Formats: sequence, C-alpha cells, structure tokens
Amino acid sequence: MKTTHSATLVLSVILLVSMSIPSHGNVNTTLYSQASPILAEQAKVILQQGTNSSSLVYTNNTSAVITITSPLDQPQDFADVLRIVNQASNNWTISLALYDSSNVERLVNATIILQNGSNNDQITINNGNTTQAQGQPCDFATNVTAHVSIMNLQATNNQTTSQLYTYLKILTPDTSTYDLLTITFEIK
Amino acid sequence: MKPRPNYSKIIRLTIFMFSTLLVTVASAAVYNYIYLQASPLSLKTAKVVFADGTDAAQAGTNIGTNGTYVQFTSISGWPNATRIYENATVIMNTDPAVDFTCQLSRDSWNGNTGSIDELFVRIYDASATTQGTLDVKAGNTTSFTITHGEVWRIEWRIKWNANALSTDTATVTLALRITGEGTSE
Repeated sequence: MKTTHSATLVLSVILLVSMSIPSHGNVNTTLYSQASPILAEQAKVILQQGTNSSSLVYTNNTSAVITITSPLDQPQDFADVLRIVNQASNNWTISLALYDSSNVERLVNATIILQNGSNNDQITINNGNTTQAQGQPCDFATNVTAHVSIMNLQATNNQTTSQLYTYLKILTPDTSTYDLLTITFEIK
Repeated sequence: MKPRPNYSKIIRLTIFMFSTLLVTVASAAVYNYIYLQASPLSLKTAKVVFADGTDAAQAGTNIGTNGTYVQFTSISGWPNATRIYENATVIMNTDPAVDFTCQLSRDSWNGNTGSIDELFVRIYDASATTQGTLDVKAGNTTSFTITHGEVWRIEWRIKWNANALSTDTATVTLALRITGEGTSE
C-alpha cells in the first residue's frame, strides 16, 4: 500500500515537472535567392607566351607558369615574359598581386611590370624582401595586348628556385566585379 | 391447400434485421469539432529584405516585390579563373531595434555542377568583416545575426574548372531563414 502511494507520488511529480516545461516554437521567415543561369563563358582576356621566357600557358589560356633564369653577376631586363590579350569589346583595368612566395631571400632585385603603353610597377622585391606586393590598376582597352616584364632581375645564387604566386586581377571599371587569373613565376 | 405464412418467423426475422441496422448505425464514427481561428491574418512589411548591391548590373540582380526574393541572371565565369561579384546584393535589417538571427543554406542545386570547382557566397557586415560563408558546392549552412538598421553585402565567388565548356550552365537556389521576425509586432 505504501509502495503504491510512493509510486503515485513520483509519477505525479514527473507529470507536473514535464507539464511546466514551456513548449514554445520559433517563428521563422524564409526568403529565397536564385542564381539562374550560372554560365561558363569563353575567356575574354587570355594569356599568351612571351618571347623572353619559357612560359607554360594552360588550357583555356587563363593560367600560366613563367620560368626564367636569373643572372647572378648583374641585373637583367626581361621585357616580354607573358602577354595579356583583351579579346573583348570591354574596357578593363588590370593589376598584379602577390599572394604567396617561396625562396625570395635569394633575389637581389626583381620588379614585375605591366607594360601597356606605359610601365606600371606591380610587384617589387629588393634584397630578398617584398617591398611592393600589389600594383595600381592600369587601363586595358579593347583589343589591346599588354606585356608582363621582369626588370632588374638578379639573384645571389642558382642553387634553388624562387616562386612568386600572383593573381592577375581583371576589373570591370567602376564596379567591384573582377576575374582572378593565376600566374606563377618560377625564377631559377 | 395453400400453406399458412409463419408469422412468428417473419416477425423474428424483421426484429433481427432492425437489430442489425441499429448495430451498424451505432458502429459509425462519432465526431467532435473544435475550432481554431486566426483573425485577422495580416500582411506585415518584411524587416529583413534584399536590395541591389553596387554590382547588381554585372550580376543581373533582380529584386522581387517587397524585397523578399532576389534572382541573379548574369552570374558567370571563365574556365580555370575565379570570378568575384563583391556586392551582388545587400540584405538590410530595417528594424530600428531588433537584431535577427539568419541561416543561409542551399535549397537546390542542379545543372553542370560537376564543372564548378568553387562556389562561395559570403556575407560581409558594414565594416567589411566576414559574417558568414556558404560553400554551395559542399552544401553547408552558415548562420549570422544581422544588427538592427544595418546593410550587409553579399559576395558571390565562382570558379569553373579548366575543362568547363561554354555550354555548361548551373542553377542554385538559396534559402535565407530569419528567426524571430514577426514575434514582436
């Protein structure tokens, strides 16, 4: 009899406790956004091999590796290591930005320039230090070919290879819409 | 001689049939109606809404009526290159006092999705700090709380792979779930 009363009491307490827990739900509103169609377009700006380097331009001409041998005794200019061709009727601005590197310490000098009628310094390495990692955007008009140059290139040794990983930024003027093309410089 | 009807049997049979009918009726379901009324069902102005970003023309941004839907018709990219629309659209919390918790997730995803290497949607607050990143390809979910009165931008970043064809297309629908809107009105 006593056991029955105890069990009833326990059950009553459990019931009361569970009933006291508030059962409230959330009020949610769902908004939708759709991107349709997302298109793969043919590239309007492409990369081409230059005459002063051994560059490898990959499928679709939207990425490249430039291989160049650095002099040790005195600086040397390489005026045409890669070409950037505007195939479209669009005007853009272009610039280069260094996003990673290795073995830069061995480089005495290296200035990467975009030549587009005028010289635009983009990336500068001085005494093994990156003193400029990003250049100012320069105009890139329709049907124009710009050249990538490496000026004053000199290294302290030829034991290792320096790698400079860069993006070519192709910006639609007066917007924040742009394309990033990967260009890697391998300096032996 | 004509046989006499067995009245007793007929009466018993009739009573039995009436009993059967009564049992059938009694077996039918018994319903009780209780009522719920929502009145009035009112239409409120949305507190968190979409609006054009500064890259709306490039992304083909179309804002739906009341700012509760947005469609992008011009998002594209080149093979093996990364296309970024830093400000394809913005979300605005128009409430003067309440912050809302939001959850952005992929609702549907179809087309030549195998040709897409990367598709990220990022939310930046007014001070350009990333508040959420949705990896559309991975199908994850990102949560953030938009401060009252603020306008945050949404960035789209896409990279088609090197083998993508110019005929490749995809469609993605995202759902933005806002918790708590409508509870304090």
